[in-house]
Amino acid sequence: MIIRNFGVRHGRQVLSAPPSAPSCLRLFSTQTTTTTTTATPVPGNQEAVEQLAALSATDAAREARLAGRRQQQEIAAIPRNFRKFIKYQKETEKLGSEVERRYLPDEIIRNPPHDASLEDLLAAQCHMGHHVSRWNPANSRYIYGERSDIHIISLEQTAAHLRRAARVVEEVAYHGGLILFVGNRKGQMPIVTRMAELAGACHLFQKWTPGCITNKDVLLQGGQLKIVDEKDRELEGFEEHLRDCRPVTPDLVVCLNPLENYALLRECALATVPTVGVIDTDADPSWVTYQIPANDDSLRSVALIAGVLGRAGERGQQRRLADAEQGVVKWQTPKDVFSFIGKVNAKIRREAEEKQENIQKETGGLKPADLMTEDEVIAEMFGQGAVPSKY
Amino acid sequence: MASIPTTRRGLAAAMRGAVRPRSLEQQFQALRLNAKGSRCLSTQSFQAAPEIDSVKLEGTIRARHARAVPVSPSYFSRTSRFNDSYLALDKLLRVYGNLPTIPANAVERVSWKTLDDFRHAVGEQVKATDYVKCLAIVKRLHQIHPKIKPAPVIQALNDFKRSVQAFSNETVKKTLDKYGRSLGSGRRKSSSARAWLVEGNGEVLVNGKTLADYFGRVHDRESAVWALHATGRMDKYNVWARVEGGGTTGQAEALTLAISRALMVHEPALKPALRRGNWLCHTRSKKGGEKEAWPREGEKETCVGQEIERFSGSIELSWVSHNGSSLGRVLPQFFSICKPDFCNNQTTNHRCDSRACSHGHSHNCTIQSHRGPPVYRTQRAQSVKEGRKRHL
Repeated sequence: MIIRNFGVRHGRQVLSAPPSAPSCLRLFSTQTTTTTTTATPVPGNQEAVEQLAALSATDAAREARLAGRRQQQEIAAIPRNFRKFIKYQKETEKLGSEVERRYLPDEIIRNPPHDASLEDLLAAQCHMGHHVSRWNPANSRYIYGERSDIHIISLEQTAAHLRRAARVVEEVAYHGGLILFVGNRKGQMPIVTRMAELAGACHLFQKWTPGCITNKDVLLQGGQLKIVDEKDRELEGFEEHLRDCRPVTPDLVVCLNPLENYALLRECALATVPTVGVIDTDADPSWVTYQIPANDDSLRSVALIAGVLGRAGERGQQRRLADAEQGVVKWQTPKDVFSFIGKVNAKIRREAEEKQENIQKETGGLKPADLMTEDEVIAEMFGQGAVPSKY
Repeated sequence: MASIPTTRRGLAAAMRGAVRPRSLEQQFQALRLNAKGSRCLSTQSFQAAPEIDSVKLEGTIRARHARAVPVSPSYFSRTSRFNDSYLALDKLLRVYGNLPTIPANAVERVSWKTLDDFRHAVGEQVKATDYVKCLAIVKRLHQIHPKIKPAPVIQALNDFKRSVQAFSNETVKKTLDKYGRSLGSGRRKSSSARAWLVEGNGEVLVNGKTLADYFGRVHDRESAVWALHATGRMDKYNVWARVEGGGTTGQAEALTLAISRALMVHEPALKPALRRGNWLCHTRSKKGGEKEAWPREGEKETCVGQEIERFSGSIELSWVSHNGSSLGRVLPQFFSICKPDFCNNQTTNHRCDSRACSHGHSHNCTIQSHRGPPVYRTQRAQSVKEGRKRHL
């Protein structure tokens, strides 16, 4: 073995060991073995039995006390050991070979890609459909073929539809729309919340309460809203409006599992809210506006698709804010907010005018009557007939 | 001819000032006329428009773009506040999940908010399953070693702690005073009692009178000292008690509680036995549908004596049973003048009060017919249930 290599190979172990290795100390330390004298009760000798019982009781108590103290010492040592652990970890993390790319299961959630290639889609198993017997014939245009009795989704179709959906999400975000990410299957919570965070959107990982769109005045009346301007800064002076205004409706709904969200998609259709959905071979593609044919049962597949959509939303938000800095705003103030602003401003102007008028009256501006002729004053008070025309 | 103008002038003078005020525009128009009153605008001197008074128009909304957006990203879930805190905890667990923990038995005990408490706190109908998941994260984070626990974790956990932490309460250990007395207090109905217990030979003074003088009914006398009686401590302690309020039954049963509590200071080992006899709890009132958990005839016999034997081997046994066939020693100074207040006369098959009995039969029944003090077992459980219902 080359000595140089030996150093590289074993240096890590040497460094990772605590500096003062207690290996030699082990020779000196002796394990204390507690021998408990088990007494056999002698029949007839009641006193001896009682004494033994008392002795074993005190022994047990002492054992318990010792155990408690030992545990306390162990607990007290934890922070010290932890600091040591962190220190050695830092010292040794540069040693050894470098793994350039590791597989981290949640990497796709933490750092989703901006676009999904066919390889990515295949690796995430987006092409796996359902058993052929469960298919919805409306999906035949997305199906590439069948293998082992399951349908294989055409990934060209998936990629194309995914790009279209991403474009939709990006533009809705750019135009200041409210996006809702829905995924309420088990395990979809981290995906949905992360994508909503990226896209500056809302998320739903629990059951959709039926009526949150069609009966929103009742169901969402407790939901808190805020008024923001084009740069997403919160505006003051809208407390009254926020108290009286109606709850908001999403402008786009992204649904990762349409099969379980019939009520939601139906409400969206009634309220003409466009929807994006992951359509597996057993789902009905007419439930959503923008279909993404893909496997919706695999968390990896769903995470990849949602990740691309989340990134698209993020891009849209960034573009919107960048344009707002330049003074370009592609969305209009909603009617109710606009009329509220008009009402408030008109009220303030009226009050100011009244105030000015009062000041004028009180602080001796000339009264109109002072500037009239005597005839005009009488005419003002009693009408034109009261003034003698000739005298 | 000459008088008319003067009249007119006088009238006009009187009318000046009474004229209806004109609009702001007219007033400004008037101001723009020159001082002579001629209708032509002066080109020589004029007053410029007043300054823009920004103070008066304060509060005007100048935003050109405004829209309403949800405060919480969980807006459409209807439990947005809960979801926000749940996600925050989840994030904390992801960040700080690798910090060392301490064993579960060494963790500081905390009473976490119940589902109802939490629902009240956030004002949302949080689902029980969701709250359980959330609380699991809370408990896991709480297990992080207290010296390493980061501040955000501590802050997040505070939202889930109850406002009153029962586990942090330290019980005040009652001790004997320098004269060897112990003090116990008890209440029942509207009576309250304080009893001082000192080692002695079985004398009892209630408000300065002997037990027999103070309580007319034998039942009450028995109730008052039942804790001593049942544990066989009748001849070992002297009692000096003050009782206030209520009637005789309430006072006697308040004394039961007071004496049993005072007895526990002398002999803490008696606690389980007294607890099983249910003489350590305050039973508030007798009103409102509650029932006495009184063992009726034919019901299973409760043997307090056996329990005492089980819990403290050194106790001298005094056998008590509610429909008791055998009772232990009863000291003469208590019951010498006592006759059983009820007698079950087999021949006449009636029950009567010994003091008012004129049936002619002898009242030399044994104490067998006496019963222990009433035990309201069901009341507490019932009130707890009702409380929960009200809370929901």
